[in-house]
Amino acid sequence: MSEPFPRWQQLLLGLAGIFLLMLVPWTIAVTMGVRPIILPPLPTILQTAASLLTGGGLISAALVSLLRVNVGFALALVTAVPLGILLGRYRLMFLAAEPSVESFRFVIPFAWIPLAILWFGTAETGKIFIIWYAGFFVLLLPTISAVLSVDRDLVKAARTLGAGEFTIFRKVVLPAILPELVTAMRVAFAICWISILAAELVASRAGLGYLIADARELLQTDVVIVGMIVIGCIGAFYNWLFGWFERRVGH
Amino acid sequence: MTVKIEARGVGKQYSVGRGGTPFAALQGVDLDVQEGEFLCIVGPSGCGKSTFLQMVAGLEPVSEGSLKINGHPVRGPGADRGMVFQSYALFPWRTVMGNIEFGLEVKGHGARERREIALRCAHNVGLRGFEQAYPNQLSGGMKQRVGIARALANDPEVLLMDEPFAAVDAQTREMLQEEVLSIWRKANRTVLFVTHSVQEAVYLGSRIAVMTARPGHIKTILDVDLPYPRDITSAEFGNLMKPVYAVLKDEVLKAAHAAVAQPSETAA
Repeated sequence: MSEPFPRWQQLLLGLAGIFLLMLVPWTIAVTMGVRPIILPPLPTILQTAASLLTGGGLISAALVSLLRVNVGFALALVTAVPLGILLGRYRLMFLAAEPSVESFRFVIPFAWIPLAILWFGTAETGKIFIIWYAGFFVLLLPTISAVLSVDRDLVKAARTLGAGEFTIFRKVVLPAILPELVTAMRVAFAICWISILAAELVASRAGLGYLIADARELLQTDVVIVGMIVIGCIGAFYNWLFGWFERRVGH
Repeated sequence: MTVKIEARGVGKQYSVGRGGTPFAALQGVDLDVQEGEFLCIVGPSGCGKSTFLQMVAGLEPVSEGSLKINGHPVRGPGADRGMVFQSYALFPWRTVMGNIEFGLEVKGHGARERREIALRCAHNVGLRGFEQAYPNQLSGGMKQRVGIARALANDPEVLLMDEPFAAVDAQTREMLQEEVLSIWRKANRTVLFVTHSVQEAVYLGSRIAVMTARPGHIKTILDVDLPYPRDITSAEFGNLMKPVYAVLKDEVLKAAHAAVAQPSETAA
C-alpha cells in the first residue's frame, strides 16, 4: 500500500480530526449551558480520569476486562482455527457442520447473556463463554474459506516430499492461511471486546462494563464518559497491534 | 535393464463426472519405464498424461489395473519419487533454502545436515547467490530451479516432471532442459517427463511415449537414437520429430472432435 502522507502528517491529521469533530462541538455544547449531568465539561472529565487512574479503580477495571477478553479470545483461537482447518480440508465434516455454523453465526453474543447467567451464574466462566462464542464463529468461517483457497499444488508438493497429514497442517496449511487468519483475528478481537463490555454491563461486579453500569446508577456521567474513552483507546490499540502484525505476515 | 515403473491396464475414472456420469480420464495404460531412462510422455491436452504422472507420484489413487514401482504397488506418495510442478508449487513464506530443505525437515535431518545438502542442491542447479531469496523475488526460470533442487534434495530414484518448463520463456527453457539432462546423466536417475511439446520430447527423451486422446492410453513408444547433446536444427532431429508429430496430430484432431465441454487449451 502506498503512503502519500508521511507518518507524522497522518498523526497530525488524526489529532486535528479528534479536535474538530469531538472536542470543539463538546466545548460549544458545554458553554451553551448543557447541564453537567448530561454532558460534563472537559476539565471535569480530565479530573475524573486523573482521580480514577490514581485511585486505582480504572486500571483494575480495565485489567479485569482485558484479562477476560484475552482468555476468551485465546480460547476461541485455539478451538476455531484447528476446527476450521479440519472443516476446510475434509468435505464430509464441512457438510455436517455447515448448517449449525450458518445458524449460530446469526445468534449474536448478547443473546447468550441470559443463558450464560442461567448456566454459569455471575462466575467468570459465563463471561469467558460469551467472549469465546463471540470470537469463535468470526474466526471459524474465514479459516475455512482460507483453507479452501490454499493452492492445491502446495499440498501436493508437500506430499511428494514425504509430508503426512499433520505436517501438512503445520507446515503448509497454517502458514498459507496466516495472512487471512490475522485479518480475521483483528475483526474477531473487536467483536470479543465489544461483547465482554456488554456482558459486564448486565452480569458483573468488576470490569469496565461494570464501572460504566455502576456510574450510570449513581448518575456519574463523567465516570461513564471516562470509561467509554478507555474502551475506545484500548480497542484502537489492539486494532493497531493486529494491523501491524497483518502487515508483517502479508506475503 | 530393470523395470522401474510398471503400468498394466491402468485406468482412472472420476466418479462425479459431467452430468453425473462417471468419465474415464485414462484407460488401459500399459507402460514399462526402465531404470535410468529418460522417458517423455506427449499427448493432446486433456489426454490424462498429467493424471498418469500424479498416479505414479501417489497423489491420485489408481482406479483400475496395476501400477508398480520397483515391483511394489504404489500406495501414496513417497520420498523415492520427486515431483516438479508446472506451477512451481513453491512455499511463498519460505526462502529458497527453506523450500529446498522441506523434504529433509520432514525426514528429520538435523539443521546442519539439511543446510549442507540444500546448499549443494541449490548450487547444482545454478541458484548460488539466491539462497536467502523468497520465491516472489525470483523469475519463472529461477523458481523452477528451486522446484528441481527441492525435489533432488530428497535424492529420489525417480524424478517426475509435469510440464515443468511450459511457463518459462524460450531461452530459459533451453537452459533448463540442458541442466535437467546433466542432472539425469550425472546421477543415473529415472526421469518421467510430461510435455505437450514434441520438440522438447525429442530433445530430452531417450524414449517417447505418445498418448491417445481421452480416455488416454499409450499409442506408440518411439526410441530416440540420437546422441546427446542433440542439435534441434539437424536433419536427423527433424526426421525424428516427424513420426511423433504424425501420431500426435491424429490424436489432437480426435480430441478436438470429442471436446464438447472441454475447457479450451491449445495443444502443440
